[in-house]
Order: sequence, then structure tokens, then C-alpha cells
Amino acid sequence: MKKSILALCALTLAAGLAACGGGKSNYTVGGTVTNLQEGPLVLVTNGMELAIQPQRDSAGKVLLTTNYAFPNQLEYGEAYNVTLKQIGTDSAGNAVYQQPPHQICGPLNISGNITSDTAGRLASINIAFGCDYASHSIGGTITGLAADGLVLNNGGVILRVAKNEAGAYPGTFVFGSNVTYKQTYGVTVLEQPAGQTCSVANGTGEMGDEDITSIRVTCVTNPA
Amino acid sequence: MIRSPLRAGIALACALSLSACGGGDGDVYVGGTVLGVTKAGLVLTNNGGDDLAVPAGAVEFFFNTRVETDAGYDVKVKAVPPNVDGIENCVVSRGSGRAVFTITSVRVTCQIRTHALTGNIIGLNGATGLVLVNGTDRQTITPTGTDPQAFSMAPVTEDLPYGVTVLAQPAGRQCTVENATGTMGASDIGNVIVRCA
Repeated sequence: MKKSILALCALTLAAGLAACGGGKSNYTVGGTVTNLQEGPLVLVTNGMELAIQPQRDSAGKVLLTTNYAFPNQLEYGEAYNVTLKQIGTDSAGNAVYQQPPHQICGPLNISGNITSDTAGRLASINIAFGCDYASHSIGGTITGLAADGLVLNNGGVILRVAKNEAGAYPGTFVFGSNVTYKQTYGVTVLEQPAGQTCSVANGTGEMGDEDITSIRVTCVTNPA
Repeated sequence: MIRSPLRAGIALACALSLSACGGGDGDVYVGGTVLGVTKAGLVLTNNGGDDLAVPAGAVEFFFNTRVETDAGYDVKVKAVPPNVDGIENCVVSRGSGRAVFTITSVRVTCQIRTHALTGNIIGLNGATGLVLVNGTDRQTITPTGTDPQAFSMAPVTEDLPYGVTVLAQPAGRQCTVENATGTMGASDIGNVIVRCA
């Protein structure tokens, strides 16, 4: 009789403890990546490295959200810090991370999205990352410009070319808006400078992985 | 009748708290953000009055009259800028609610009118591979066998510049664009000519 009471006590205690811990002592570090178009996105934490490829539907189309989970679970109380894989530091001492091809990814800047914490503080570990195709500037050289008024256009984005601080007409130009990877650009002369005619060479293309600096604007003075 | 300083104090406190609650002009600002307002003409109302003219280029607005704490606010569009087709093209979201603290969450999005950008290709001669672009708008031209062959770029927002260029030449031919660039006015542009030889 006494024995069975003890057993009951032990069972109650065990059940009670399990309830306290939510019945769980191991935690999977995982989450989502939004808009990952091409892999791999490499995330690291606790000595693990996870190469994430975009998830696709049955037709092969990339899904808006890709789920990920690190292979090894963490113990209750173990600290984690999920980041992209660091591949070096820049000249200013900031970390440089390995990015997936043509894209820039990072933790989503939304409230409650915590990349570094202790396992067990939250019921589950769900860290959201997001990606966008990278964008690069377009520009090039200007030769022969000798008057005010030149306005260049890239599909509705304009660039007014004026004298620089030294009082000279610039020999190079860069549009203020970048062009996203795989998007097209096409530079035209919207307004000619006074008394001159400018033409654009090499002004159309599809954005790759580098800034475009090869657009050539050549201006000649109109015959009198 | 007891002339007590305490009673006077209570009366004063009452009066102060009443005025704090807002006699007349309230104390809660109502406003938010606007998108797509490039010309003057947008007029917003709150609770059917307090007309607010939103200037060209504005990104945010606040009504001149504040509302009383806990009073309702209801933002509506009364008039739209001249480059927007009708009141239904300036849409208010999160436009009504109860004003508890400064309201900045009202959003008014105006859709500026667009116009067609079209033209003709001369001398394509059945060649494939011609790709025309206007900035990020890309149009691959499939030969129809007619000469000249009409083509359309994506519609362009009124008052914005456009510039049609050749991204890829058709097989064995060289095309140049005439009347390639300009600024979209109040009507369609149809005079772009792509001449291939």
C-alpha cells in the first residue's frame, strides 16, 4: 500500500516536471527565407553550417517562402546566434558575409525577429531572413559637353548634367537610381544642351553583377 | 455656506481637467502618408469637413483641426489632382477609427493616369530577336509579316519621360529608333519609329 502511494507521488512529480518544461528539452533552430531566388544561402550557428536552396512548387517555380532548419537540436539554455556565413572583413572592420548569387539577404527587420537568444526562452525558434536581387549603378563617360541643359533619361529616371564644383562639365556620370539585377536599362538624351547635340552609345543593356560604367555620351557643337 | 479653500481648489481642478479634455479644438492630430501626389489638387476631409489641400510632392499630411480624445475620425477624398482620373483613383486605407493618440496611420494612394507608348517598326523583314526597352520595360518583338509593324511598350505615367532603345538587334538586321525619347503628356504617344535595315 505504502509503495503504491510512493509510485503515485513519483508519477505526479514526473508529470509536473514535464509540464514545467513544456515536455521539451531540445530545440530546433529554424525559420523562413523570403524571396530567395537562387541558392545557396549559407546560414551558420552553434558550429553548424546550413546551405539553403530555394523551395520550388511542382512546376519548378520558386516559392516566395523557403523553410529551413539546422540539423542538430540545441539544449534548453544553450545560446544561439544565426547569421550568414562570414567570409572576411572589409577595410572598415565590418563583417563581410557570403551572399547567394546576385542577391542580398539578411534578417528581416520586423519586431520580434530575434537572431540571437537562448534556446527555451521562446517556445520555438523561428528566425526570418529575406532576400532581394542586388542592384547596381549605371553610368559612363561624357565627352565634348560644353553647354548647360543636357538631360539624360533611363525609362523615366532623369539625370541633369551640370557643371561640377570646379566649374567644369563633368567627364563622367552616374544615375541616382540603381538598376536591379536582370532588369534592363536604356539611356537616351531627353534634352540637348544649348547649341550642342549629344548621342548615346552602349546605352542599353541588362544589369549583371557589376556597376555599369561603359555608357558613352558624345556631344558635338551644332554647325553655325 | 462654508467658503472653503478646498472647494475652490476642487472647482479649479475640475475646470482644468475639463479644458484638458478638449473644449472646442481637440488635442489629437489626425494624419498619415500620401503616395503618388505629384501635382496640387488633392483635397482630403475629416468627418466631412476641415478640408485639407495636400500640396504637390507631399509625402505626409495632418489636418489643421485636431479631434477630441476618443472622438471618431473618418478621412475621405474630396478632390484629386488633375493627373488622376476621378476620386476612385485616390484610395484611402485605414481612414477611420477612434482617435486616442496622434494618428499617423491613414494612407492615401493616388494612381496617376498612364498613356500608351506605341509606334511602328519599318523593315523588320521577318527577322526575329528584336528586343526594345524603355528603362526596365522590355518588349520582345515577334515578326507578324506586316510592314510597317505596330508595337506597344508598357503604358507610361503622365508627366514621366520615356526613352525607347534597342536591347537586342534582330537576326541579320540593324535597327535604330527615331522619336525615341520625350515626356509623356496628357495623351498617348504613337510616333516612335524603329527603322531596320
